[in-house]
Amino acid sequence: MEWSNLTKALGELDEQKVDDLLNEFLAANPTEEEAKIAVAACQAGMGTVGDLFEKGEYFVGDLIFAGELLTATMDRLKTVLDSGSSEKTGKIVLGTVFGDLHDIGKNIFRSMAEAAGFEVYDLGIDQPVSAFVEKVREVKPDIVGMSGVLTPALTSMKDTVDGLKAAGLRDQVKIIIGGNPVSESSCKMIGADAFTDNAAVGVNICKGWVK
Amino acid sequence: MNSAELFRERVKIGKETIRKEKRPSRVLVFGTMVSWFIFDQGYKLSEAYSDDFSVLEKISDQAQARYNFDGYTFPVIPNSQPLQKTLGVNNYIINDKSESYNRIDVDYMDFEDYDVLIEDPAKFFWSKYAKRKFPILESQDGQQIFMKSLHDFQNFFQYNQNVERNLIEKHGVPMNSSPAAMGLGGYWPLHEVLMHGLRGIKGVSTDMRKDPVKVKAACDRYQEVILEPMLQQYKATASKGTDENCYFDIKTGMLSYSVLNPKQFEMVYWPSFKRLIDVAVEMDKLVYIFSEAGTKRLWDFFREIPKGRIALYCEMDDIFEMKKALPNVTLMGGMPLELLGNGTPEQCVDYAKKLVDELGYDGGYIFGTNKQGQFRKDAKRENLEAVIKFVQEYK
Repeated sequence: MEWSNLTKALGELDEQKVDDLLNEFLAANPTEEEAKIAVAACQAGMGTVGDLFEKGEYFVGDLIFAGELLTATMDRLKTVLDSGSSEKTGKIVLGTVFGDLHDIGKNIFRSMAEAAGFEVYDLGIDQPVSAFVEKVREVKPDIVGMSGVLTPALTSMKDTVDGLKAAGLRDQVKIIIGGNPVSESSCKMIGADAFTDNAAVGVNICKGWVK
Repeated sequence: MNSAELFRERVKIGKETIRKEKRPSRVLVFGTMVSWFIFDQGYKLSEAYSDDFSVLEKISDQAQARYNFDGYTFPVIPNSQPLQKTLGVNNYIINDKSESYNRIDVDYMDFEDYDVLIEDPAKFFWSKYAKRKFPILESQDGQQIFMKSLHDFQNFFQYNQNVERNLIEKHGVPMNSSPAAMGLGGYWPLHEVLMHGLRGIKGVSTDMRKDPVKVKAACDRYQEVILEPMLQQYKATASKGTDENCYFDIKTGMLSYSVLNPKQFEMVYWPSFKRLIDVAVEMDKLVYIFSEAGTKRLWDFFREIPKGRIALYCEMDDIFEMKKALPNVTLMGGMPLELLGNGTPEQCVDYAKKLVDELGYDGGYIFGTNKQGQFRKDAKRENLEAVIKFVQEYK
């Protein structure tokens, strides 16, 4: 298997090509080590997707499709991989905050973060402060990611940061906020460490934190 | 000035602003707040979005009396809750605790249904879409429910008329678009319908990658069978020239393009949208376009439109950059909600002055917020009052 072909096919979002290459790979009865190399090739492909999005060549629809394609690909590779055997870059607790039911941006971020090697604990949408606090206490992540599209999400994000402070957990994590309404000033008001409206940029920030 | 005189003056300024042929005497201020008015007037979302339309009528009247807007992006706060409740549909979730209003992504169409849609769009809507969206109509009480939904729709229509009449007659506020273009209210490129009513954002995004040719075929067919007859009907019934009793003739929006790259946009979206603009230009009409996502990548398309025909309200663009890039277009918006919600009246007025000075010097600018105000913290009352007073008095 020429791994660069898998990277290229995923980067170009060529579903058929990715499918053909995976069929070929899985038919050869690969070892777990080889499957890890395949995962790395897919991660590199998602890196290409992120780069093309940042350059303005890919758009939101492309990222949504990339997330779907990567999830399907990883599901197939998991049949060869031992659960949890691959080394993780870091842990992220992620969720859309209370009062907000939007999850497209969060899901794109999750796919790209997983492709970058993070172990992501996705709480889902409309998550109260207590859900973030409990999960952070349980899994001790490096990073907390909060997502929201509506303006009231900013208040919920602040409440969540305050909740983490009250629980004595704030200083143990980096916090990134994402979505349409976030900005430098709202980031300060909320008490987060970083903000972004671009999933690819957000993942790069997270990678910088766990170097 | 009485309300009739105010009405005429506002229309005159509006036409001069949009046509860009003559510098108007001042910059118009549009009410770009929507559900924010509900909080501002002391109501909960659930009280306003109820069966009792008189609450929203009161909110509209009180808001206009306080703020004296020249016009509105949404003169009537949309409330489809009663109709949705009757039909057993719940695409909008209201939460009084978080004071939020969320729309749920919908998926009433499978990928395989494209073939039926291409073959016969009307058949698709009756045989697939309606059955999936309104299964309640096939129940034993289906007929009664259908009759009740007609009654709800009539109430909704009446509410619209009451609000509009009050704004025009009592407050001298012209409407955004002409009643003559009511038949074009359903003129949405199929891509919008796919994203908001049929496939959802995830479905339509994956479809464009899996089989763009099929999506294009569906869009072309929908244009031919559904949208083109709407345009022909409009051309046959509306007289040429702009309606002198409202700001614009046609009101439309661009929403779903946010997931498309330029090549995809050109393939499945722009042909339908351009067709509407072409008909408007041919009939000497003025068009208001609401846009929810950044439009920079589409500016080359907008440059094709003749000067003085369209106004763009863009929520996610740098309006100063747009002014330089699109001299043919009237721009609306620009006042940051973040400043209105967190700043002082002095800071807000300073920013409003910058907007009027840099965007309104040659007409072609309508003052409003940079995004539609939906939530309590989107603006402080004193800040909004200060900027409106300033812009309306600033020459």
